[in-house]
Amino acid sequence: MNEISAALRAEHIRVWFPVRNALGHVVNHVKAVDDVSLSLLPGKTYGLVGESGCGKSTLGRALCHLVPTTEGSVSLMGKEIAPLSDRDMLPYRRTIQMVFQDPYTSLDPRQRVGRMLMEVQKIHHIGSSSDERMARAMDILSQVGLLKEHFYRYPHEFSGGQRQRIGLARALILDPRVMICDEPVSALDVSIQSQVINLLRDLQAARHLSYLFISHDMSVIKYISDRVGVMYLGHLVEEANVDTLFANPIHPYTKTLMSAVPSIDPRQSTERIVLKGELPSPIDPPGGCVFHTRCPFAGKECQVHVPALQEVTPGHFAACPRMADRH
Amino acid sequence: MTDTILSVSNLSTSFRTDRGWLKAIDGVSFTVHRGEILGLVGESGCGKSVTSQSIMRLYEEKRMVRYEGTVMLSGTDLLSLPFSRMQHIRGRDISMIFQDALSSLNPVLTVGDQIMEPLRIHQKMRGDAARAEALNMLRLVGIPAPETRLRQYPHELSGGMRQRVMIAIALACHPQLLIADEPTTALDVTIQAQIMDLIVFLNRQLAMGVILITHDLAVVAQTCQRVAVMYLGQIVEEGGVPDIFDRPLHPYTRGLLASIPRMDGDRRERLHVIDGTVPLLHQMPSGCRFAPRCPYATDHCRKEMPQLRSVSGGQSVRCWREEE
Amino acid sequence: MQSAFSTDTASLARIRKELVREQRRVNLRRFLHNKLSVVGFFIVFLMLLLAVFAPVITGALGVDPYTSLGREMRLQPPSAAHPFGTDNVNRDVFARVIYGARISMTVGFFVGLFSSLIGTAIGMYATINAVWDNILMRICDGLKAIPNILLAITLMAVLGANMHNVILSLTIVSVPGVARIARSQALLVREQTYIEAMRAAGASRFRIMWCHVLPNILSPIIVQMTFTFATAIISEASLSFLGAGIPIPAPSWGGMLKEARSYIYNGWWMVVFPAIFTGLSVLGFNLFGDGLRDLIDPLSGR
Repeated sequence: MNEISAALRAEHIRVWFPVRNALGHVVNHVKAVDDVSLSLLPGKTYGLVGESGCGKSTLGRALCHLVPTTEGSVSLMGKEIAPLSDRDMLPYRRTIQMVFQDPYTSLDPRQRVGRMLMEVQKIHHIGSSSDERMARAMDILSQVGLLKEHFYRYPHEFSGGQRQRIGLARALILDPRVMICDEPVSALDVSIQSQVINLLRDLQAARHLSYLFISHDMSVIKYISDRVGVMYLGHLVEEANVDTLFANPIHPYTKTLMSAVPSIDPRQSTERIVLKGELPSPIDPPGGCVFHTRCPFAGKECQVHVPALQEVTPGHFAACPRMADRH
Repeated sequence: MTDTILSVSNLSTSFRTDRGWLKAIDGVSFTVHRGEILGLVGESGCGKSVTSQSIMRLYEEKRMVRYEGTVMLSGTDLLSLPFSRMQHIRGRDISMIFQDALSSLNPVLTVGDQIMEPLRIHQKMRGDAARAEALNMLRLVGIPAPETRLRQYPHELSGGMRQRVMIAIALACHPQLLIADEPTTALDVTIQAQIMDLIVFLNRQLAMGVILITHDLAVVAQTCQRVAVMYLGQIVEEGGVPDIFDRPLHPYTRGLLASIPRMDGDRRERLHVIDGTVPLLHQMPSGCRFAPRCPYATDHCRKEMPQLRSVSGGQSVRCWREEE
Repeated sequence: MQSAFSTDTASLARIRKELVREQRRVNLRRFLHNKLSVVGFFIVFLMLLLAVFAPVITGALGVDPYTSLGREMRLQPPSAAHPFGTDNVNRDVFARVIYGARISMTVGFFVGLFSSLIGTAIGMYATINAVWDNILMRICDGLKAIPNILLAITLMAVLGANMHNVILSLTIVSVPGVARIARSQALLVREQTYIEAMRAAGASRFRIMWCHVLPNILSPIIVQMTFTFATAIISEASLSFLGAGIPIPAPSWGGMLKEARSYIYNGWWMVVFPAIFTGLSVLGFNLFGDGLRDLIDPLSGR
């Protein structure tokens, strides 16, 4: 990887939330994200996949400076942003933007679409007059496939897919370089989902955007990503370029995820790997490999040995203590 | 050759609204056989949930509703039964499981109490007999350590376990028909796979009919024998799963299948898109309801509504292009 | 380019106007749908008219709330010249009831306004500062633990009986309720993703509270304001009835009832008319408030 050219680079990120007792003393931590590093290349998509509770959304929010990073560094276009205060972060907000999952709660129901787009510009002192801002807002609306008339409409007048386009417009009007997309199509119907995915790809090509695309849907991840990271219980367990990962998954968890995806072809049925037990609590994750309590291939060493991400083949990293045995 | 459990014919459900009576589903017909899983697929607003709730007659207490057509469950027409008789049908002959297991379970009752409740009501089981049956059900749905689970409350269980408990409650009285309304939508992929396996297993084990309502075509492909595709309150295509997935005839079914990103697909190709959005119920297009979004629509399509007609091999489709 | 754009804005402005008009039509239809709230609205409207035009109305009839009409006019039953009769000190009851509306509406209006403003500010501030949240909410709990009317009487006893102090003490009594509502609503709104989205867009904390939280908690607060209005009317009447409110000879409804108590057998009209007006206005505001509550979210589709 060319380290300098990364649009966003996160190193050893930890996001721990304090757990307090009735007296307000911190007794423990929810280790939502624990020592994760990744980098987004300009114009490329990094797909982050994992099941609910794995910390993928928290990581996205931390990178976007919406939840505080406990430890680690985030550099955005070469500038360190993790330690900044909210106020000092302001100028960098133009560079990194976020698209949210739920198109119904991510728009202020009392604000017309146009006013929202104007407000975002005003915050960043974009444009000198309100006419200029309005022209820009109209331009963005047409870029995301909406009409100029939509400028004066309230969010509730739109369908889910259109609302997601409005959310995109809000992010794009600042002309960001990096977009954190947190499950942007999960709440949408199949036919609308493909419209939004196509739009995201077109916008990426036109504006040379870098995406961190967070999803639980393996097929969407496979379709849109260039590089993919798999998360489990706050840890990145495997990372590789998309074709490598899907052709040759190494970590047992990645294999489990892939085997669980139902095929659209009724004649093709996959041999499923069934996980035993349940997801451990992120307050008290298991020692050794975090996955050993559920791993069908776990051995003695997995309970003690904490695996680090190791490069298996060039660019393909996995964190499994038994990797050497099985590879 | 197979015996029919449920046969719905020409079912229409209308609701009273500010704008008058609004038909949410229009002329829906299908049958479910013993030991069969029928998939009912479509996007939000297509009427798949209205169909299932109409079969259960769950609307009458909540809002002004009007049904037309018949819903025959082993020889009785559910729609012509007195409303009070329905409570003996629900839970005994037909059961239902929902997407959100947490809010569908009563938080202040133990798992055991909730499984025993239908047994007490419908089978007049008491005490140890009910308890033993509840344990059986928990074992059947694959819950480990059922004795301890029996005494736990819903919030102590994980999402997958809750869904299993809900299935155990639904199946306690061995109903002839199970309606599963998006049973795995709220679950993670790995859990979803397990729950779907369970439903398939129980369907065979108990030889009941299952209606699986979902928006996920891949789930249908892996679990159902037959599938009915709904659009805007009507069934647009119906048939055996392999046939429809191999040779979708209706442009909507074709569009849906093409717009899903596939695990084996080409990443460089753009995803297929069905243009436009689903119109609102009170802005129903005249003629074929899919015509405004259909790439092949002709004037004929826009003027006259096609009927659901069987074509070949048990496949039926509602489209003028297949008429000849 | 510039001119093309300005014609564009003109046509868009027209679209905007149409949308606003359409929204109003929908709201009006939904409001009219609830017959009781329409009745409430008319009562409220009528009371406000009486309050504003009290001098005009009484002037036209040639009566006055303060002047004695002479000994021979003591405790006269309702007649054409004095529709509500006269009282024990020879004054026209009709004029006093009409002027009473002035007092009640003034008290109700200012108590509603001040308690909404202060309560909203306190409730919203509590959600952004954990320390002050604890302090303010414990104070509110303390105030709510004392029965409203007792608290108001105590405050009046300390402050002294006059109209300003009635407004002040009733505002103090009403603020905790509004603050609680504002706080709980603001907490709900702050959890919504659009607040997070605006943070991601770089909006300051003040902007988020002012432009995004406040508009979204306004409807329940306005509804609460109509109820506060009603409660203030009845509280003011109670205070005046107990002699702790507006001092005589000012014609407040509660004060009139207090005087009328002794004449209940030989001057029923002294009791009945102020009581009817008090009851009617409280009912009116409550019905109106219920109607508003149904309209609470005019933007939520349907």
